[in-house]
Amino acid sequence: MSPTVARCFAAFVAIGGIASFAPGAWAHEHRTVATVQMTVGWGDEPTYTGFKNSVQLILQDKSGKPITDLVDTLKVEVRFGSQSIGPLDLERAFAKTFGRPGDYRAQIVPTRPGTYSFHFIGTVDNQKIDQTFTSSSTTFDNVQDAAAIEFPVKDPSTADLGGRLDRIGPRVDEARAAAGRASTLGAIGLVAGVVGIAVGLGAMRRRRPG
Amino acid sequence: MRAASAAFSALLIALAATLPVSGHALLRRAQPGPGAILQRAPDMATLTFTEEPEPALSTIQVVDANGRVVSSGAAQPVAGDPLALSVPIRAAGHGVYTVSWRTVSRVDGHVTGGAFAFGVGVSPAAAALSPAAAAGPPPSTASILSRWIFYTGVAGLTGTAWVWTLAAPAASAAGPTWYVWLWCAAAFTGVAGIGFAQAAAAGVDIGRLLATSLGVSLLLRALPVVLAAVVLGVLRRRPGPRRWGLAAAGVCAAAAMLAHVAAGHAGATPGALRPVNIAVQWLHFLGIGCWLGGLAALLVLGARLASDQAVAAARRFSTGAGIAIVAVAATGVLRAVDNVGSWDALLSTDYGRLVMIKAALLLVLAALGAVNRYRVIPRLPARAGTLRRVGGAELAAAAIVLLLTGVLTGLAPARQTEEAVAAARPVVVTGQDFATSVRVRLEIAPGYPGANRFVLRAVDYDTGRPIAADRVSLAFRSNERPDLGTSTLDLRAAGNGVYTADGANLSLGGTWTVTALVQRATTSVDVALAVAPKFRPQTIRTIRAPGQPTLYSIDVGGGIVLDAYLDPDRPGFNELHATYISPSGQELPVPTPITIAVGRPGQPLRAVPVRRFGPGHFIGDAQLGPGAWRIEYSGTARDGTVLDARLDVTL
Repeated sequence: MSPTVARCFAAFVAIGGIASFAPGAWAHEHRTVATVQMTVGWGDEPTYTGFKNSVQLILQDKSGKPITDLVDTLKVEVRFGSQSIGPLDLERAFAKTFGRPGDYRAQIVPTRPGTYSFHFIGTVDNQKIDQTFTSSSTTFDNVQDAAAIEFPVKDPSTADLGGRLDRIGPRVDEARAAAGRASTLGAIGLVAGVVGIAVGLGAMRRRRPG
Repeated sequence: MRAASAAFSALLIALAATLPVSGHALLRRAQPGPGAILQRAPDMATLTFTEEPEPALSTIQVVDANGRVVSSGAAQPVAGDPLALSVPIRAAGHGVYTVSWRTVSRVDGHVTGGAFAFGVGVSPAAAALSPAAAAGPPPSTASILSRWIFYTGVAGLTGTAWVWTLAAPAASAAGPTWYVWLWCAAAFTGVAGIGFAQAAAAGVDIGRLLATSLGVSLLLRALPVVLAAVVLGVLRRRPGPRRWGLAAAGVCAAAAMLAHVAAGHAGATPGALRPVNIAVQWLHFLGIGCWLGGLAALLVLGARLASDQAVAAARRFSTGAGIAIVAVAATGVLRAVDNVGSWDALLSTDYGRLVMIKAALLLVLAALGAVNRYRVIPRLPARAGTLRRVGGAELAAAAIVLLLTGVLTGLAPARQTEEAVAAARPVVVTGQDFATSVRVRLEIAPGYPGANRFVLRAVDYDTGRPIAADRVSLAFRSNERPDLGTSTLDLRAAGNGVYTADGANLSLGGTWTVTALVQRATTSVDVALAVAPKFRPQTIRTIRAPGQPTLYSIDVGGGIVLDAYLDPDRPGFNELHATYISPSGQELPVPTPITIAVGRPGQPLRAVPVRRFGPGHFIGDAQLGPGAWRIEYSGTARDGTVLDARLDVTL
């Protein structure tokens, strides 16, 4: 390999490497806790409901050096409204030959649009961590309904279909009950009508002379 | 006599409420407008009203967020636009400014007022002018009573003059003198009362009011009344027939009515219809005077005439009253059409609903008149008592009808109210999520591109119960300009399922998809809403030249004009040219290509391809068939000013 070719190859690798670490739309929240720098967001942004995603935590020390020796001392709890899942394990998303050093992920499929919170608890390099990161327009993405990018047809999500089915059940029950009430009233009316006709005929017969 | 007195009292009440047509100088448009966000402080605030305001009695004040007055001097008329007033604004920095105004209508002296906010470099909060404020305040009791007394006087004089001179000539000698003087006094008192009520409403003394156009109008009404009194007084001291004096007083009363009508809303009609409306309104006045004033005069006379004279008078009155009723009904319908304007306004406005109730009661009144005319009068004198009773009932019914009319007098005509309220009415959209679990109603006020207040109400789809959400937000995306991206607005809970926020997220005209996110403890839903902001009222000047496409000069606000034309301006392929002109007359550079959307009126518009032809000159390509087309232009100037315009053309 000639020196020129080697230099071109090195430049190509460098550019490729930089490009691989530059996400398309990267909205993360950065926070320094004692000697640890935490960068938190969704693994795949923008984030849509119904698709596999992950909680992304990038750990660096105070000097900016990736922290790559995190074992299972740090966990994350994901909160939505009054619900939560976890604590979830944070798994390495890197190795010697791929990924970004210090990138840890916890896999999750967000099923509802809205605001999510990530609560990290545990220790990093013997530093106690108890931090909550919340999605917003100024931190990292809120989860959006996937219908926003569906094409050519916007299909309802499983959650939407489930919600609709949940609603349909009580409505069907109510409709049945109403139909039952109407049938009862109809039967009463029918009986009343028959009785009325019978009374009328009887009255006419009594009036007829002879 | 007791019946006559009762009838007279009823007439006093009835006539006091007389005669429709009233209105206010309501705000039609403003520059800067409510909720506008400007990048630079304007040097002038200009307000345009639905009626001509009296500049001497009107005020416009602009204050900054600290309450410091930044407008200088009094409100001035705008050359070439009698409906507008303007006030200079001293140089001011960024912030929220509040414009408050108080105007006195040159037409009828009604006072209106209100306030709105605009921002310079910032979004003004609570920019909306409420529809209630747009409709104007109700008139004062003193104003209503004064008009009541004036109408009573002139109608009484007119009716007495015709009955005592034509229907019953003998009555010119038999009728009580105090009766005629009473009407003169009532008419004069009414005029004076109107003047004092207008002065009180305007917050000035009567002397200052008399120095304005309103004072001239008052004098024109008072002079015929004074003249009637003088004529009656002079002829009373001279020998000769009294009927000439009565006839002259009737003519003077009719003249006072004409002066009142000419200074009213009929007289404010623009264009060639003005004399027609004045004539129609005057006939309406005269009809009521002859009918109700005449009926009261006849009943007062009843006991003072010989039986045969009374019968003859009743028959002649009946014929005349029949003609008067037809005239009142016909002219009333014409004036109602002019004042109400549309079926929708008839059904949806207070004014319209009162007109309908009044019309229904008029049918009752006509039925009573028919009883008198066809059943009682042919049997006179035997049924003289019945005539008095039915006549009294007729006046009592008229009292109710005319009391309703009196309320109408205090309301702005529906046509004006609709126009002003429509400008202030918020945009309202509703929708539900796919799962049909949540129903939302979003109210956007004032609803124009720019700063708005968003009020969202979320309820359960089935039960209608308010939803207590942890978080509610709106995401905005322009359908015509997806390159603008999505902006989000978080709403604050206001209780009972209502969430509000102020924001300028609707930055352009055209159609928007606004997605409401309602997040609760365990779930969240998206509700997609289609929103089309209102267009600000705009002025379009049309310039036609032989062999040239028609040029439309559209005022888009802030002194900026959009010159638009279609080339070749015939069915088929057209180039839609749009050039923005700055207040200095130069082409205004527009950094981002504008959007041009076309469609049939009332149908969805579609964006057409747009090319840049100059810094502020764009061309849209469109295939347009014969018929009516709507073209909407949406753009943003370098300083952020919204440059929206709408054009309706027919090819």
